[in-house]
Amino acid sequence: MDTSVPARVLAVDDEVRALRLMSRVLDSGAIGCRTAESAAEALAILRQEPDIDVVVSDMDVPTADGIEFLDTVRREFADRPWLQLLLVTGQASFDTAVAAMRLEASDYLFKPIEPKSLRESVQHALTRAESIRKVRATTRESPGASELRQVADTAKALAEDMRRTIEQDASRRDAPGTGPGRPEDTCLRTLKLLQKMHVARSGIFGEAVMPEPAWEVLAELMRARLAGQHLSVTSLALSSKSPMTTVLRRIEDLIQGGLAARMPDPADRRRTYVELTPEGMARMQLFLEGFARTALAAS
Amino acid sequence: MTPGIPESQVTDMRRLLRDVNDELSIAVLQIEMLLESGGSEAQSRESLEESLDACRKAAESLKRAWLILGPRRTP
Repeated sequence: MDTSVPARVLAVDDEVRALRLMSRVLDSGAIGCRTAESAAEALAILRQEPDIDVVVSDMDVPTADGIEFLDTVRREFADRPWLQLLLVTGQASFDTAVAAMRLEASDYLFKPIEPKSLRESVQHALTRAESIRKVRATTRESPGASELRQVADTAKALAEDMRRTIEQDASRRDAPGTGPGRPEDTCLRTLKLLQKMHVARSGIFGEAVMPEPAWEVLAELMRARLAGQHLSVTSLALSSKSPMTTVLRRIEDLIQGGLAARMPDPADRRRTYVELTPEGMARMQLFLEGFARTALAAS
Repeated sequence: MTPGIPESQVTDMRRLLRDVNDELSIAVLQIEMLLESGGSEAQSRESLEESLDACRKAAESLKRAWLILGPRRTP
């Protein structure tokens, strides 16, 4: 084993012979391993060696129950989410299994352990740790990180926009002599904000990744209703960024669901337009006003 | 309360069983490593395999003993 390569595994057991053997088993699989005879020694090694990716611990380490020790490891090294915990036990119990799951132990080995299964479990844990490290490194350093910051900034700006809009609505409503504000205004502003959010999100993730044709149709119908306009099936389908056939299917779904209805155009009987039913209108109003309230409370 | 075993002795029983299992575990790992290295003569290899088989049987009996004792009580 090349000693210049930092060990990525830490084995913890109060039995020195078991530690020596585990180390030999892993070494024969070209896996570098440090050993600790107690929980305190293990914690000290982990503090000094950030390259450790996997902790293989006996359930009965001295001075601490195995679960208690692993709990401490998870809490103290919360900034190392890639750390993989492998529990070794001689006695399976439901309580231990539940505790191990809670600590997201990556595996649970029963004594007597076979070298092959120990190597396989450790190798699997190492691979998993490595992939978590890679993902974290990517999000921290890649150009994608700036896009994520952009998402966060956009969300913050939209939340501020939303808060201002709703506060303006509320102050208008409370102003003497003006009477209650129109709920339609809140709905319209909320719709506009949601549209802005959609545009911002699509700009970053791409339109094809998260299409929402049913929501797009509902929002468009609500906007038209609030503006006193009629929308034909064709113009509704054309205004959507989703494929025509998908939009037509979603319109049919909304009609079947009682949220929208097809109406003959009084000016031209050959044409039909689609509008929200009273039920659809009530639900959209409920959603938009509720969303506005929630956004205000959160901002 | 474990049937037939006074409560005061259950903890000791558990410790003993755990120690036996730990020893068995060491024996199994040692034998497996010897077998993996592939250097032993045929006769020695056969002895090792028999020893390993005996250890596995002992471990199986231990598991059954754990089941009779039941889960450890948390204070």
